[in-house]
Amino acid sequence: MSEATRVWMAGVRKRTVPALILALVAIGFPFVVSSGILQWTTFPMSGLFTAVNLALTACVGAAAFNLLVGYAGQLSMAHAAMLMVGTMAAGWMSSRWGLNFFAIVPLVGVTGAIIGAIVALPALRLRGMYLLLATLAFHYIMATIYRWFLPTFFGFVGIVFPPPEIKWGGIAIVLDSDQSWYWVLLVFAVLSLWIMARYVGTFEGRALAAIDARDKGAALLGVNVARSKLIVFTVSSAFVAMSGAVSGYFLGARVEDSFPVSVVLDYAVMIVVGGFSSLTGGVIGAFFFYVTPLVIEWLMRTLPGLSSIALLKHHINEIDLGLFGFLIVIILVRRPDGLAGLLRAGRVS
Amino acid sequence: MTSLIEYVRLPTAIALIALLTNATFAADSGGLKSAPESGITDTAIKIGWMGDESGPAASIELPDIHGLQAYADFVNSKGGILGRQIQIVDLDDKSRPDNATVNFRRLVNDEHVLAIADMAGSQISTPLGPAIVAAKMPVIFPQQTTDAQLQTPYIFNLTAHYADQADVIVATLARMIGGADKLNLMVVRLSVPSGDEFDAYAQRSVKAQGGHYASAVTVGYTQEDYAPTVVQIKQAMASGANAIAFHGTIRNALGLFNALSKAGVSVPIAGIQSLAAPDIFKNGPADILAKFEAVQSALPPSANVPGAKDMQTYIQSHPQYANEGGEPYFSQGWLSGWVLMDALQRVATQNGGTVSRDSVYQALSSKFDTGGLTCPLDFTGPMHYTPCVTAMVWDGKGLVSKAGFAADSATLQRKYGLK
Amino acid sequence: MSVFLPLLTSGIALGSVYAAIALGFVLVFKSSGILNFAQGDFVMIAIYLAILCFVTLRLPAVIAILFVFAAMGALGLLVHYLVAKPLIGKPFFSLVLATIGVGLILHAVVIGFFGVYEQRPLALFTPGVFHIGDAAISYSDVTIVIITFAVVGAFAAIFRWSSIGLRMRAVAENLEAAVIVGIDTDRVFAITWIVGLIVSAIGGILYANFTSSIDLSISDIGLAAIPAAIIGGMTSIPGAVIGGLLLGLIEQIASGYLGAQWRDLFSFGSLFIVLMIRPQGLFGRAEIVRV
Repeated sequence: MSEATRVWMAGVRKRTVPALILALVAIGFPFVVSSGILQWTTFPMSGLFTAVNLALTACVGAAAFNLLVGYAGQLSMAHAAMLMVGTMAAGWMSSRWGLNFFAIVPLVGVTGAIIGAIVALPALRLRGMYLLLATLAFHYIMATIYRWFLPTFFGFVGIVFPPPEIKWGGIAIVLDSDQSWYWVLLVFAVLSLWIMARYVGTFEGRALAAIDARDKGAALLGVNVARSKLIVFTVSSAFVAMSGAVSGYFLGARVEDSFPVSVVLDYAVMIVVGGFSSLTGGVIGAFFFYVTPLVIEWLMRTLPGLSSIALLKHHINEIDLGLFGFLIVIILVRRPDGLAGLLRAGRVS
Repeated sequence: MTSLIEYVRLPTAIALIALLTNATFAADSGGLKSAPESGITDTAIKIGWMGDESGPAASIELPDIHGLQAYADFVNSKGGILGRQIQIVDLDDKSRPDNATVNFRRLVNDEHVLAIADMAGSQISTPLGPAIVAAKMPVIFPQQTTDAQLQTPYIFNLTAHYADQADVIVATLARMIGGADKLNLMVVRLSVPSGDEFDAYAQRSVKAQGGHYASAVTVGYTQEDYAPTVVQIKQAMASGANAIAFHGTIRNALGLFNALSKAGVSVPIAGIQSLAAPDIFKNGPADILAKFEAVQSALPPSANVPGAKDMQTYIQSHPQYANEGGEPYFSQGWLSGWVLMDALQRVATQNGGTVSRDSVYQALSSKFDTGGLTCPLDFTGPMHYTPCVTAMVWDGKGLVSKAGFAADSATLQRKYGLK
Repeated sequence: MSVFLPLLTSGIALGSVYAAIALGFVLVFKSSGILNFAQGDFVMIAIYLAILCFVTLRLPAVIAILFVFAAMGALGLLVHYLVAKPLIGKPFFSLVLATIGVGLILHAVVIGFFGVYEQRPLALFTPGVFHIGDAAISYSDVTIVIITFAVVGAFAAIFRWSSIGLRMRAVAENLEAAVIVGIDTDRVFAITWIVGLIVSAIGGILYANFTSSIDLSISDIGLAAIPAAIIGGMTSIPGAVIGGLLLGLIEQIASGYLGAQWRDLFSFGSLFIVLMIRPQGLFGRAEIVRV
């Protein structure tokens, strides 16, 4: 075997083996949960299942956020606003037009894209911190609209999303449990990430890196900076809106107060901890965000030394919160390129 | 270096111990057979609790879990119930729907609790409606009652619906003004959809009771200064408004009352149940508080009724709860445990000690006498609401009902065709 | 007039609170370029420390204030050495997020030591009101305004005329040049954090007297002060103060005439308009903020 072949095979192994393992875990996970094999660990497996589903909807939003902030360097706080747009659009299409969930999601994507493009227009002229603040202002404007929209069109109950149905031949599957949702969310996440990855790989995508580095330099390179910014806002907003619609359906309803500005900070935590400017980072960050609190609490409950300390039990919530903040700071300080950077480092060596 | 004998001894010892303890517990279990899938193990009865313990609404939800934990502790210290100790599994969602969904799954599928207490926040209870029905999990006394909750048969509501709160608020203001026909109502409300809801119900109530509706003034959750609100209230009063129905948080109330006092404005005010808070009565300006009442559905532990005796005994020996003696939500938490155990005990004596979550649910759908802490509870109908609402003031130790449940709830009982 | 005057006076008082908090925010930004999203959390911990010293421990006023300042200064040092310094040169968003992580830790500490229940506000200043026409003005509000101006004035003087102020301005102006000239930039950054947090502590203590009830949500004031800093200009200290006053006035007048539901819209709407028309704010220098 030649040296080149050996290197190539090593490369394949490095890329496909982890991917295969991931696929196996993804496919096997629901069976592990329902079989109850891991019950002896007293880890809340059903809770974990729900957390994983939430992470799957969030990772699309986190990856889209990363696309905008990490790849293209457009510091945006309009994330929660786009989730609201997705929620409102989905609610409208579901209750007024009676559309099916599977038709609504792509339509919400289109709506998100349009609104994203509109928001991007004034944003094209701003940079860095000023863009950040303008998008923060946009959040509060959208929050006001959301608070008007809900009671005006949905009365006092809020937007209630009916469980989606798949009718196929003679079979009707209703998405009303973690088990049934898992597959739909998995497909949604994989498909969305694949599309975003393709986008990043195109010329447009590589132009983003140039814009991030130096607006003016990019212009000199022949990149139409304004157009590229517009496109990345559009693409990102489309996926964020879709993830908002999907999570609305998954949770079942959306009422007032569902989107405080802290939601943006949550996603910011996800992408920075997971890893900036890498779609994988968004995924890792989303899972970190939803699964870690369960793990921390389980450890405190089961580790023999810890579980007997009464003080810990009494203050478990604030310890949870403090640990979370501490983890964020530590990861950022020691590994500014996040957990995904750890992975990359592992792969390189 | 372990020998074969060691390998045999340990498992045998374990088996022997298990056999013995089973035997012991079987003898003590008060005739109730274990049903682990329904939260009844050999040693414990598991009650779940979901709510906000460290987030934005924690200050009003902590008294609820404290009340429930106090009840469990009280019962356990007297030997438990039906041969078992009550175990509370409380999960914190920080008022976030995604956390709440995970916690609900944990309580139902991982912890297998008998029932869930609280579940505060409409952003949490509304989405979980279908899941509650699918899991057939009883939910006891959430801190709010919404239309969606009334349509979910497994939810048992103690808190009054906004429409009912509005009815009693308007009746209370009419009492303070000297007659509903003299009432010209102004609504001060939060700038959120539930504020719209309350405003609509207040308008309906005042018209139904023969009074007038003047206008609405909005306050914000994070409002720091209330001079603008006072300006708008004064303008409304200049146009004839003479009473305020108040929908807001404790912070809003303290801020507004201080601003009103500073401006020398005096007007009768009646507030929703989250404003029946000891903090307001202890820290607010006396001149405004003299004309302020807030509605609630349960009397606090300090109440002079038979049902409060056990709570008073417990709080006396547990001074960390001394501050909550005047807090109605503490009673609500205590009662959620009390009602559930009362229901459990009713079915435990039938059926040869075989119970399940379903049989407990059936037992919950009946009548309960809380010894005066609430009006008589009647969950036999298709919608499990409670017409218990009364206007409360402060007597120095705790909140007390001015007119009593019977008088204040008369309007509602007529409305729902009860008794 | 009976409508306008109370709004004007309360707008000035509220604006002073905003100004003090925005000042701490701008100080940190001007020197280290960090957008401290956890500003509200630092204000919160200063307030709770003040409650500890003034109310729980009943320390004499001077000692209490010195203790709070010392604690906040120490916190500033910690934040600089453990968080800000290791992240110099790293992506802007990472810095912002790190401050948020610190904010979460501060929240956890407050919950752990003080609990989530409402606390009474501080009442350090003379109680009571006096009247100008129809408007009732509290002595406490007047004291807050006076203290704010005093602090701002003192601070502006230090910044302008002292040697440390000179060094801080140099670092803010041009980091590389400051290094070349031999300024110990690390020390300057550390001092900036210390001073910034102490100023925030002052703003917090003033706010604790202004508000009617204190709980963890008091950290929201940090976010509310951001529009103040922007409107005034993130690179200008007098700008932060003027921005704060303006913001307070705009919010109160809009809320008074139109209703509190417009408050957020007005404050963040003003922010948006300023960013569109004059991003450097009223007093900031026109840097390259546009492409």
